[in-house]
Amino acid sequence: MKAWWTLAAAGVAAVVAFGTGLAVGLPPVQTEKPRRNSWEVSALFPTPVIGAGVAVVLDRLIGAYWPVLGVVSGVFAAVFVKNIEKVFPRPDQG
Amino acid sequence: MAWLNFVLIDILMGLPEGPGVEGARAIAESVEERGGDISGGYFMGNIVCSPDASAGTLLASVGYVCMGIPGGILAALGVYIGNRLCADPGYAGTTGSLTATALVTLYDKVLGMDPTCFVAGMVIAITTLHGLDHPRASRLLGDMARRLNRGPKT
Repeated sequence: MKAWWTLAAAGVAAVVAFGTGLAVGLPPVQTEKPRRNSWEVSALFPTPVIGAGVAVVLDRLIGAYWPVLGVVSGVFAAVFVKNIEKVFPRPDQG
Repeated sequence: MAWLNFVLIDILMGLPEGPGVEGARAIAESVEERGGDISGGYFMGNIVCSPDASAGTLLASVGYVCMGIPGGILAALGVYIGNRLCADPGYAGTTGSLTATALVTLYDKVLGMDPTCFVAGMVIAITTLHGLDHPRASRLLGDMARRLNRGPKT
């Protein structure tokens, strides 16, 4: 069933995104407290969400072999999150 | 279920603690002037000004109807991007999307409920907070926030 392969790609992407995020120097979780107000990004949030979401998009658009999609999406997510401030800068405080 | 999902996630992620943007503060002060609660007003202002767990629950339900579980994951990505564009770090919206996807999956696969019911349920849930009586809704939300230790900081 098609949806299961999409989910498999998303799962691989989330795991690869977390691992690659750690490898590129993201902290495992937000270090600022309280975390719910922190603008800091980490390997746990939002990297796996972006990786899984991109894997779903690529699966629908390209439909390549699911492990390849997962790895590519995961690596992309980690690099994107590492540089997220250049795309979505945090608002001025105060 | 849709109401509980979005209200509890939004409260736990701190929406009633303060305004994320000036628009949310204006809405909260307007609600307070009409006899409402400032904390509930912050909650209501924040869900207007940024896609939080309310939008996450709705979009995840719609995504699930269209694509199944991958649709919910896609909704989480879309909500996160929307959050970042709206001066919001994105915890409430993204978490709300993922928990809504889990809930809709559970209700669809295990209990056999039509997932479109969640879409309708979310529209009704938003109407109860934003469409009927702002002061009463804000007092309910403010009371829930204080019970969950998420009252206003100032």
